[in-house]
Amino acid sequence: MKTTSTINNAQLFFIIFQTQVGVGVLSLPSSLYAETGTDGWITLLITGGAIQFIIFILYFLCARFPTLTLYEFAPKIIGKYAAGSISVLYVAFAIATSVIVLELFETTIKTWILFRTPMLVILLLLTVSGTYLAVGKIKVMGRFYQFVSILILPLIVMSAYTLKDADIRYILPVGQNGFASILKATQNGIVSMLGFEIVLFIYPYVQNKGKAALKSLTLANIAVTTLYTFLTFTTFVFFSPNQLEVIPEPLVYMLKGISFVIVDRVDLIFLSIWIISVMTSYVSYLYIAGRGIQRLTKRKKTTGSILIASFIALFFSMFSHDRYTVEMLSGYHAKASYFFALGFPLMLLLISLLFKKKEESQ
Amino acid sequence: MRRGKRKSIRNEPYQIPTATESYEAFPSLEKNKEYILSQFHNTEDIKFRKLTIENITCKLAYLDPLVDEDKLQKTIMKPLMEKNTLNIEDTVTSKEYRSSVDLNEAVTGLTKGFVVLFIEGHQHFYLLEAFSANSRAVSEPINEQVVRGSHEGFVENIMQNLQMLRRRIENPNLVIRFFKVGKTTDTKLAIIYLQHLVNPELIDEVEKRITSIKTDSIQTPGYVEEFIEDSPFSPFPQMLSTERPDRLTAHIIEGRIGLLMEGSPSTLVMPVTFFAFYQSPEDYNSRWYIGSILRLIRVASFIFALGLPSLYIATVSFHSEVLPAELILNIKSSLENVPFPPLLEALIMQIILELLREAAIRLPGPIAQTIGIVGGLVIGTAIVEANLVSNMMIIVVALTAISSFAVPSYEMSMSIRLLGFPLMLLSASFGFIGLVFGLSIILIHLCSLETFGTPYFSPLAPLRLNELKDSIVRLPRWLLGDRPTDVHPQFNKQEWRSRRWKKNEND
Repeated sequence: MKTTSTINNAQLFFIIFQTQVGVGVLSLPSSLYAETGTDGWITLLITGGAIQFIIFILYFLCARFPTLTLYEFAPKIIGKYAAGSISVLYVAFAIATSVIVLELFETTIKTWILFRTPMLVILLLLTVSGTYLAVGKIKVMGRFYQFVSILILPLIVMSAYTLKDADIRYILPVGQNGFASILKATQNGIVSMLGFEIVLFIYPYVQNKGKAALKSLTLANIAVTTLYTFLTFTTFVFFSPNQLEVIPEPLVYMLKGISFVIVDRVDLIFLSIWIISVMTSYVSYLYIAGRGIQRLTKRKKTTGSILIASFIALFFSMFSHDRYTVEMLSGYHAKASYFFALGFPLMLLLISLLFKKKEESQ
Repeated sequence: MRRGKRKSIRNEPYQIPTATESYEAFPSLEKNKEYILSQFHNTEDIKFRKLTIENITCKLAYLDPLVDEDKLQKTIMKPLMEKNTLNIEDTVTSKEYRSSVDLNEAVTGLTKGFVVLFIEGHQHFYLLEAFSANSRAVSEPINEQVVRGSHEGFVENIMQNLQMLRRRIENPNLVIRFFKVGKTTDTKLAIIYLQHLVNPELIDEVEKRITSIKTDSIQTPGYVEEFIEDSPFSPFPQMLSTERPDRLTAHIIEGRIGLLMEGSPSTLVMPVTFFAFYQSPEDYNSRWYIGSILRLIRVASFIFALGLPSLYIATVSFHSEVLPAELILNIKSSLENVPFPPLLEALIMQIILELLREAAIRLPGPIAQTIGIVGGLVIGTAIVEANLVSNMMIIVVALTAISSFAVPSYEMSMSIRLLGFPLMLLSASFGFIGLVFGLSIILIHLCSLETFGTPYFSPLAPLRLNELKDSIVRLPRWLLGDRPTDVHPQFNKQEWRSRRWKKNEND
């Protein structure tokens, strides 16, 4: 006797939201600053609009095959072999994302909290707990993501508290670097807001499909855009432009400066909560990779495939790496992600529209 | 292969003959007596009493300890002797009456407190009920006491327990199903539910699981629990064990199933959610603010009992900079002379505490107080003066213990304290990071746990806002229009605008 394995629309919202919010949030303000100066927060608003456009594409693609995941409907659109290679690519992409999440997590923890702990141990902490969540399948992930989203509130409160020391003049005049640079920085924004493509793999499990699902997707995008814009804006008005140039993780530095009555180092609390967000992103990609491996190897159960995916991710993240290699890798990954979040789905949608491929309704 | 096979034959449990195989009775009294005696291996508590009715010799057989002497006299012997007729059915006033020719049925009947009447020259015999229903007096269960509310508690007699429940729910829809479990003990189990309310799939599932129990004996409801629960390796109890009729009734009325066992005052409720362990029947007896505050305090007690020692360990051994300077000076000065790391301190104190608790349960009341004084005062002060454990750690461990005892369910409070140990290890190794991952794993486990098709951590995960008002807090009864949906009852409404009189009132 088991409960149904579906997720409701609130859970869909939180899955998308938590997958999008992740490791990137710490370095986002500084990478935006490097590109477009203090106008970075406007970039994020534009990015939100662009992502909404992608979400429509993903949604229309999913809506044509309401009971199938990408791994299952791709063969119906482009045939077995092309679909097989796309599936392999998606699995590789998901594992690569997990590896990058693991590596960024490890570097951040090493920089901020555990300076002398062996790398493998930190990686294992995330891998073990993340794998345990991923094997619970989508309904457990939905429940967990929904529950831990309450932790975003203290994050917002902590950051909002710093606004008392803010100086609005830091970001004035708005638009000083020109519209072109704002647009150009959009790619930095999109990279840290990736994660909405998980909808391609969980749409069949959504209880109320159609408009309600689209609403959840849109709301999740709005929530993420608002949160990121808010956090970036806060750091931009807290630090002067000169300071921003030298600070790699402005959010954490900002919180290090404030203290509450019984908590002196707010940044430690912030990082502890941030870990959960990292874990949720990691788990989502592990799930995508696991489902792909399951589909490709024609297994019945997901558990084994998710274990395989997490082993592969752990193995690749164990190679010694410094800050620069990680940055280089994430640069390549960012370029590749355009294909996976936009390119392939758009292609599939166009082909299916052109040849009128659609799931037959029962 | 052969070895394994032989072993399995040797391990086949000894089986008393039950009614499954029949053995035809003899017309002769002596032969019947002989057979029964041989089946009971000449036990000495079996009694035979000779009677003469209509000049025919008859024999009553019964197991002396099981039979109520009064019933035997009043309902069987007296009518038989006075009326002196072989029309047994109209003579005997015993509650249950059966006639049979299968001697093995007589043997089973004897073990259940029946009196068997054999008649010389007749092959068939009669089974007459004279079961002794002695049990202890009804008293309040000591592990689930309340200040206000019913002080009734279950006893060891299943019939009396069922009577208490029937008295509380006077409704023909209240259904009781009996099961016989255990090859040797043949224990009587009963499940009780409201037929018009409970999800029929749930009934089928519970019946399926109980009937698949194949074991030698069932001695406590804990056996049944381990046989039928969903996740036997989970640290969390998945069935609520209670000795309070009012608590069981409340759960039955929410559409759950109760399980009672002969010989045990504790009953099981299934399926339950995590929050059922944090509710007490007395919440509904006090003002709703008070009930709500009490529930919130209990939820806080869960968090304290689980995480307080590990949070303390993580703070003092890794992140003392989190605390402001004045506080850290106090803490560090109390830690100064202690040679052990905080983890070891915590382990010492926790183990002392568990020892004290275990010792105090076993001892009779007055001596248990001595243990309290020796343990609490003497060890508590001496251990600090000897610089083995710091003041702060004593405070933390004491708070943890108090928090864990605030849980209304004993199993849950034990589970939580035990879960604290791995968390302490994690936070002693990795500080806040370890604590966060430890808590996440517990939370993931809670999210994935399901009992009888019900999510265990409902209504928090999956979130059901509408049901939070009767789980984490308790709103007034007239606002709780719907039952909890986690058990999928057949209908949801449980309250129909009881305060509508308010509208009709004129100012």
